[in-house]
This record gives sequence, structure tokens and C-alpha cells, in this order.
Amino acid sequence: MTILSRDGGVEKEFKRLTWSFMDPHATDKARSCRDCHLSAKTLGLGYGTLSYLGGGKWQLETVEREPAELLGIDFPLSAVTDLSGRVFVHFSRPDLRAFNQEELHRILRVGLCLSCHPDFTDPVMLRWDRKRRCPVFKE
Amino acid sequence: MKRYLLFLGILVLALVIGREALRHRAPKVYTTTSGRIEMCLACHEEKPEKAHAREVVGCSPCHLGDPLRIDRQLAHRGIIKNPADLRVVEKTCGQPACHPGYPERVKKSLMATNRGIIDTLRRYWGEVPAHAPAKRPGETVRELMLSGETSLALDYFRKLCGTCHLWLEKGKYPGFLGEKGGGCVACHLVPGEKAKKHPVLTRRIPVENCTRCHNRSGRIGLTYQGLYEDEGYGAPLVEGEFGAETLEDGRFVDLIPPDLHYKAGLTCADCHLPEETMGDEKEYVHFEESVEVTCETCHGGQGLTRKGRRHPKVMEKEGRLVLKDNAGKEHPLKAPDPVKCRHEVHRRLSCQACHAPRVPQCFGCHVRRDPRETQLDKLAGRETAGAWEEFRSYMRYETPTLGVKGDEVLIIVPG
Repeated sequence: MTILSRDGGVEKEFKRLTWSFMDPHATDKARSCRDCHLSAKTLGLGYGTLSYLGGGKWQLETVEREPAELLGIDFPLSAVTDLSGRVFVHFSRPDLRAFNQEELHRILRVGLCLSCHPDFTDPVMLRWDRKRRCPVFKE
Repeated sequence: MKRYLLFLGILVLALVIGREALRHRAPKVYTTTSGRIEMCLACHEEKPEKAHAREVVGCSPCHLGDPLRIDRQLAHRGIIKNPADLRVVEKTCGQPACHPGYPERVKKSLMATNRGIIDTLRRYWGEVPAHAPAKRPGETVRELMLSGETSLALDYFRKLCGTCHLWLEKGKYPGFLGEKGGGCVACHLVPGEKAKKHPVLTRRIPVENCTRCHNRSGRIGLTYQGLYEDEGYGAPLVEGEFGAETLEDGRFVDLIPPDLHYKAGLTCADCHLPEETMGDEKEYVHFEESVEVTCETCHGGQGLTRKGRRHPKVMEKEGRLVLKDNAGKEHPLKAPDPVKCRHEVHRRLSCQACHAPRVPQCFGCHVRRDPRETQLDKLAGRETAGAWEEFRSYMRYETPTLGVKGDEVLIIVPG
């Protein structure tokens, strides 16, 4: 928000990026598993590409310039958090938040399963056992 | 003396005859079907719809005035053009014989108070401490209209938000702004046949009525219909002119897939209950306190809202739940998929987290106030110093971001 002075200069200015929750009224067929579990944008990391480095580590290549000098922010405009769980923005309600680091890594970990177990028709999902460990993927 | 009295008598007689000749007399006494005298009907030919039929209701129960007079000036004393205006509605639509209780409810509703917008703006802009109560005296549309109170956030509200509330007098401002507001008729009025000279009052609220207001911020009214307010380039150009569709206020829109419910013919008021739109006697601050219909109300929830109220349009037909829409069409209601939707790994997910695959999002909202210019304060009805301009970095119709509210995963957007 910028308040100009009578001579056209900047008298007062503040920056606050706030995100809020909503039902967008855009109901359609459900998104795919990959659309959430491997999407940086969905997870709140902003537009970019995620790469798995092994050992539970991920890397994000953001497509937005970081920092954005014109906006005066040191994070991508489309992001609310980063892989370490650092939160960039405000939220419209006290009980609203971005995914935390533990949640981000848990969601992304599922993304690695999707190559073999693509959706809910997969036997693993139909006969779900929380304690079962993958015999193929080495953590 | 006798001659003087005779002359005076003739003069009085002439005056009486002359005035009687000029006076417009009705050919008969007009009454409604209940026998109430309604002389308005002698001159007025307007024909409202059946629920407010002229023969039954007449004119004066809604438009006031004096139904016993035939003289135009006397009959029109105290007349009101819009009976649904919240300033008079207790005497008109809300009178005991018609729709009692509604004015009190509606005046407490968020569409009349705008409490949430005002509270949010003031909080975002640092005018209210974080620990301040959300419901504060003096911070409703009507109170601001009467008090004239202002601040930076309130000045912004008065100038850029001040036409989306039920206290706005219908027709007060030119163009599309004149179509907004008007109390009950903000929602309940649709154009009538020209020959009937009276608009139609309806309980079948068309989507267009809702989207006169619900088209900014989250833009849900546009998205629902399959309209996306794009970057504003007006492309594609056709023969040198902007070829994109435009809204009444000049914003360019692109066509996107509409919401499945819109495609099925459902209007906003088919899902949203009267208690949400017209209030339930409680004075809320934010929309999530007021909105009670959820996806589960229809899909797997046996027609109950999150407040336990039975949805008036959801009913059982031949062993299945159906929603009977405003047009009378029945829509069978599907239960959520028992595996995909009820799987324990997704127990925190809202339906929309998956079922809204693309969502309009506006990034980098920025506002600027220039004190050298003036702008219309829509609550006060006059130009005052300081004009606001809005800017944004970019608009996208894209994969939405998810976040967590309480213990629910849902869609979050900038703004």
C-alpha cells in the first residue's frame, strides 16, 4: 500500500502479503495424485521444479526471480513457504497456515511412490497398511 | 346587503363548480380482493407478478402513500419507489402481514453489515491490534454511513468496496452500480415484461443477481459461471478491436470450464440456504461463521448442514437423496467415492482440495492513494479528497495452493 504526498512522492508505504482460504466454486473432476504430491505450486513452494536428491532431500528450482527487487520481497511471489518450512506471508485467520516442513516432506515422499502406485485403484491403496514398508525404494 | 350576499353566494357556487370540473374523480371506488380501498389502482396500471398481484395486494402496502386519495399530490405523500430499501423495510416487505422477522435478520447479515470486509481491511492495514475483538461497535456499513468515520482503511472501503452491500440505495449511482443494492431487491428482483410496467419479485434468485457483487476478490461468482478475469489485454484482437468478453465494469474475461454444479443448472441459491444469505438472527463477522452448507450436506451427509439444519431442497425420492432446484428439476446426489474420498490417508482433505483443479489467482495486489485527486465516497454519496488505484503483479488460472486451517487441508489464495 502506497500513500502519495501532495507533490507526488511517497509519503507512506507498507508491504504485507496475506493469503486467505476459499472455496473457489470451480468444482470439477478431481486432480491427479501427482498434481499435489509432486507440485511445488500446490504445496505452497511457488512455481518451480522439484528434484529428489536422495536421502530424503529435495531441491526446488524456482521459476520466479528471487528476490523480487521491484516488489521488495526476498522470496518468490507465488510461494508461501520453502522446503525448510520458513513462512513468507501472513494468513487471514489465526488458525490458517502453510504446510510445515514435516508435512511437506511427508507429502513429497508419497510423490516418489506414484511411479509404481499411480492412483487409488492400486492394490496398495485398496489394502492399505500404514506400517507396510516399500521393498523397492531405499529410504 | 342582500345583493352583496347573493353575489358572494354565486361566486362561491362558481368556484365550487369550477373546481369540481377540474378535479380528477375516479369512475368508481377501487378495492382489493379483501375489500380494502386502494384508489392507486384508478391511475396505476402496473402489474406485479402473481405473489404480489395488484388485485390482491394493491400498491400502498408496498409503496406506502395514501390509498384513500385520488389527488396525485395527496395520494403520493410519503410514497417510496423501492419498498425493499432497508431504511423502510419494516413498514413494507417486513410488515407483520407479509414477511415479518426478515428485516431484523437481514440487517444483521454479512451482506448488510460487511463486518468481515471492514475488520479484515483494518487488521491487514494495522489499524486494529491483533488482540482486538472482531466485532467492534461502529464498524458496519450502516454505522459508517451515519457516523462518517474514516481512516485509511475505511477510506479505501468507502471508495472501492462501498457499493456491495444491502444498504446501498438502488439506482443511486449511474451505470452498473445503479443495479446494485436496494435491500431485499438486491437479490429478489428480476426484470419483468415491458407491458406489465413492474419488475418481478422472485424467490428464484438468478446467478446474475449474486454476481453483481460476488465478482471481485475471490471472484467466485465469475469462476462458478466459467468466467476468468484475465490479465486485461483484451486479446484476441478482432479487426483491430478488443475481442475478449467484457464484464459490465469493463474488465476482460476469458471462458473457462464452469463449475459442475453450474453446468447442471444449479444457481447459488440452490445450494446456499436462506439462513446464510438472509441471516439466522446472529451477527457474524466472517463468512465462514455464516456459511453452513458444505459439500457433504448433499454428498454423503443426508441433507444436513454443518449446523445440523436440514437443507430445504434436499429430499429423499424413491430411496435416494435428490436436490430439487429452484426451477423444480431434481438432481440425484452422489455419495463420495468410498475409496478415494474416504481413504484414511486423505482424512484431513477438504473436497475442494482435490475437486477444484484450476483456480483464478491474483498475485501482488497493490493499492495506491493519491491525495491530489478526489473519488466518490459511496457510503457518503459525495466526492472526497484522495483517490485509490489498484494494481497487481499477475493473474493466473492455475493449480491452486493448499494450506491447513485447523485440521483441514484446503485451498489458499493470495488476498
